[in-house]
Amino acid sequence: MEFFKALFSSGGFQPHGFCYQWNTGLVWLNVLSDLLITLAYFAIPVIMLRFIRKRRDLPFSWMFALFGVFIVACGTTHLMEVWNLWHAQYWLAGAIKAITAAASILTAGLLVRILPQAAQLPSTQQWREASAELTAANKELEAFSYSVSHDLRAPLRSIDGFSLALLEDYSEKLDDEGKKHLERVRAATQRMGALIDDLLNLSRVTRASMHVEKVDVSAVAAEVIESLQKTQPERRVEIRVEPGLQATVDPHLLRIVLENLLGNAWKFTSKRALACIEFGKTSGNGRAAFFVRDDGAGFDPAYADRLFGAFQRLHSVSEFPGTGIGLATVQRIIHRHGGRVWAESSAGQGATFYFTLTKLGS
Amino acid sequence: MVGKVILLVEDNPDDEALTVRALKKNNIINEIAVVRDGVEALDYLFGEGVHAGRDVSMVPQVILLDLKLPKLDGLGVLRRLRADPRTKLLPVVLLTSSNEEEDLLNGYGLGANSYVRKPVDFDQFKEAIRQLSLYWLVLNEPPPARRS
Repeated sequence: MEFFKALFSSGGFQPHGFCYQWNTGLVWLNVLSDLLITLAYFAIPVIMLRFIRKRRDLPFSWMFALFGVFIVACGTTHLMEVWNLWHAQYWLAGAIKAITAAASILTAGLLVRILPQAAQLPSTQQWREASAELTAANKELEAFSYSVSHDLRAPLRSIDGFSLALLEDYSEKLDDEGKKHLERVRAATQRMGALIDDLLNLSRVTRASMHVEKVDVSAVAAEVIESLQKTQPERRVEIRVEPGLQATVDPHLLRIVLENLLGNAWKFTSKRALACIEFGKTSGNGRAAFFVRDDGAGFDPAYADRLFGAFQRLHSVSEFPGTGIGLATVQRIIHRHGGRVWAESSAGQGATFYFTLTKLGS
Repeated sequence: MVGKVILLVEDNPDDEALTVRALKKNNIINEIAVVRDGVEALDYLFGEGVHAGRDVSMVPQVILLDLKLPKLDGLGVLRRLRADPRTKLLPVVLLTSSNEEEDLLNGYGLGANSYVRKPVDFDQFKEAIRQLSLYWLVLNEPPPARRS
């Protein structure tokens, strides 16, 4: 109590105006200057706060907050200067200065500590150079894909076409073994054609511009399943699609994701007399995720980390056909949407593929 | 169908042989004129250069145009054809390896009538040629010949 009394009492001192002998010019020069400094010092943190709010990715944003405190404290000391001209509460003025001093020292000390890290932040110039390099690399990739698309398939057409020409025109000169060899040549050629196409699609998924909109994910899933059923109408598959699921997503890319995941479910349940494929949304682990579940061949969880790599396959081509590009494509699309994709399974027990999209709809 | 010429613009001799083979396998007996680059394609159509003196009133029923060609590429040929009143309405089918979005957009943008990607599998290629020739040589009504 005594402490506060002392803090707010003038303690018998004369107000500061006496030092200026109440010279009107001198007093007002000091008052106006101190008030303007105060105004500026109070405004700066407000501006900085708005800046931090707009740039959430800013490094060392806590440093800006500390700067704010330090500047507000400085402003208050100047406001106190004005007050002290007429009111001799010098203990209060001193206390405010002490707080300012502490904030200033703390700011200075922390500045020294983060200096090496801050110096490593890339400059705008460096960003520009890096982004120019990236653009150049992308252009090169595009030129490469274009060339692959045009030039790499042409020789395959010749190999396949002339192998077939041999089989058709010279069949009486070829024995069964020779014909079988040629059939193998053709099969390998067509497989390479499929690999090239899938690889091009994978790179296209990365290059395509994204247009997100609200999409009825359940409807897309149902359409994809319907077209799968048309390819093999004789198969008995129980389908469960949770209705009304929505997401804000690029509709074209979402379809590719579902075609791959549901296509895989369809493929890996092909050896079951009655299969079950399910699409829905779960909120396990506190995070909402879409999932595609099947009761097919599944995979050994020991190799789960290899699932999403390009050309990685956990089954032989003779067991289940495929190029090993599908899940790599899925992962790229999900990453472009800021989401995550993962899978759970044990061999022979079916598999569940989960994926999230940052902008999950209601 | 006699007198209806198919103009094939193709620089790759293998692709030329395979396309001709596919046409024969589908019993297409039309004359197939083959030119091997973009400039020769224009010379053929306008009766210039190596094809100087050709009767240009004999216009092909359809052009099968590859995109990647020496000298002048397929899109360049298409641009020139569409800019000339003699060939403005000529049916042009782009028959090419790529299905790059860029090629499709440019092709249709310059006024191609059709875009067909050559499949690797020759059985599929043969089927594509069968449908193409059935459509462009039999089903489709060509633009009437200009009389000057």
